[in-house]
Parts: sequence; structure tokens; C-alpha cells
Amino acid sequence: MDGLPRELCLKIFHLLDHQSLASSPQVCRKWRALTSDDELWRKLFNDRWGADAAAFYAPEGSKSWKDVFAVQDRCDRYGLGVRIIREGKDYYLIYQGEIQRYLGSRQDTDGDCGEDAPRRDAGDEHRQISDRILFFLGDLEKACADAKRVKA
Amino acid sequence: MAEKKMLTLRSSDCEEFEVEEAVLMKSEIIRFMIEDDCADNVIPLANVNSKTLALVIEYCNKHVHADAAETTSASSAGGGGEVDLKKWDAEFVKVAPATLFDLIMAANYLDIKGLQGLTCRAVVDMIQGKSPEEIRKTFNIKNDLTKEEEDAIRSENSWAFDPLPVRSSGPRWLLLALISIASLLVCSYLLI
Repeated sequence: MDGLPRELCLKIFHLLDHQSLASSPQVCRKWRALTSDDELWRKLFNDRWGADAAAFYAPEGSKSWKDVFAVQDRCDRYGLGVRIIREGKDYYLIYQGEIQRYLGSRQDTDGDCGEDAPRRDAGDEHRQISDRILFFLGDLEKACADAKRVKA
Repeated sequence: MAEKKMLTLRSSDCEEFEVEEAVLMKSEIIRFMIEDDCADNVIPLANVNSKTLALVIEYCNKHVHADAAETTSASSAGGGGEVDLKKWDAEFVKVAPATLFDLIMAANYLDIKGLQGLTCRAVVDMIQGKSPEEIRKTFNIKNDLTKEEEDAIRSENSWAFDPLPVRSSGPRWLLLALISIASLLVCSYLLI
């Protein structure tokens, strides 16, 4: 595919689904650059959720269409409420499709850890994750209180 | 019966192909040349080699004659011809990736919409549902990413794949309670 000019490569990538597009960057550097093309993800968003949604959710600031697509995809899968999800080995707390907090990582117990490799206590890990959830809930409560104060 | 008008195409490696004018009308570029009376007896195609040009002509020939056959048998019921053409197309693109890329470039250069769509779709079918390693093998691509880069890309794009459900070894009710509290807070804020 090296011989193909950029616009023809993009023509091909335009026909891929979002999962293939998300795994394609792992092929090589050229594919990584091609699949991060904003227009690709805008078209993909448009095809899946329509032009009205695309106009409404158009990215702002440093956000890209890929970010917007990822958020909308999460909303489709998990709904708009508060959820704890696992992506790979990482735990996240999401709300309205947006990742609100990174909650920590599941440690590899089947990895080739040596005898003297420091192993984190599972209880510690769960405590840390719980703390992060509680902090997030605290933030939510504070935001609600602030909003009430402003309304009053 | 009127004699069919013929035109000659010359490939980049100087091989010449005599083709019916009607067949060449599949190419928008050549069609404009014919309609504007710019087409000489020999049309040079500097960007297409003979091997690829032979395949392009084969595709155009098949489609023009299939279209003609369909027009004449339009009165008879059933779309058998269309099914046959789809089968033929599927067989036509069963070629090496390098040949497929040459066809994509030729179809783009000559502006043959049907061939562009067919060849691009064939490449997509070679990519879809395959792991990065399988894709590299298919297209003979060298992996120039470091292990760290690969891991970063994988975690960056993990949202696209259905995550495993969270299994907490701690009491599940605590987790549910926390989520319920958060949901209630949000709802109460929205209602006020």
C-alpha cells in the first residue's frame, strides 16, 4: 500500500468500520497517520448518527472527531448514567460517555514477575479505586450544591 | 450492421491495445476526449502499464457487454445477468494486493467509477476483521512501531472494542450503592 497516494488510501479507509479503523494504527506509522485523519472520523460519525447529531456534537477546542466518536459510542453502549467500565487493564468511571476519572489498573498476576518483584496488595488496589469513586461523588455533590446556590 | 469504431490505447511500457470506442466510454477521461474530439488514433496512458491496462480493458469489456445484454433482455423477468456479473466481479478482484493497488491507481487515473469502487471494496475486505499482524502479512508491511508505541495505540483505541464486564472481588452492593447515589444526585440536580 506504500505506492498508493494519500487520497486513495483515505478513500479505502473511508469504507472501514470504526473497529477496523481503531486497530489499523497498530499496523505501521503510515497507517497510524492516515487513520488519525479528522475527516475520516467526521464521516464515520455522520454515517452512524446523522448530520444533525454531527452538527450538534461537533468537536470544540483540542478535541477531534475521533474523541467525539468515542464518547458517543460509549453513550450508546453504557447509557448516559454513571458507570464503571474496564478498557484493557484499566478501570474508568464514566458519566455521559465522557471518562471522568481513571480508577486504576488491574495488575498482571500471570505476568513473569520475579520473586522479588514488588506485588501490590489487592485490598490496597480496591481501596484506591473506592477512594477515587468517592472523590468523584464528592465532586458531583459539590457541583450540585454550587448550581443550587447559583440558581438561588 | 455498422462497423464498430476502434481506438488504440498505448500503455506506459509502449504496448498497444485496440479497443471498441463504446468500451472506452466507461472511462470518464477518455469519454471526454472522444466527445471533445481530442482522441487521436492512439491514446497514450503514461501512468498505466500493459499488465494493468489489459485487466482494465477486460473489466470495461465485460461491463459494457453485460449492460448491453441486460438492455436487450430487459423484457424477460429475473436478474440472472446481474448475479453473474457480481460473481465475475468477485473473481476479477481475486488478485495479489500489488495488482489490486495498480488497478486502483489506473481506475482513479482513468476515472472509471465502477472499477474504483470494486477494487477499493476488495482492499477493505482484506483489512476488515483482521489483526494488525495479519494485515501486515497480507500487504507485506514492515512494522516500524516500537513496542511502547504499539501499547500506547492499543490503550488509546481500546474504547472501540467491547470491554469485559467489571468483576469486583469486593462486595458488589457497595459499588451499586455508590452508582445509585451518583445517579440520584444527578437526577435531583436536573429536576431542580
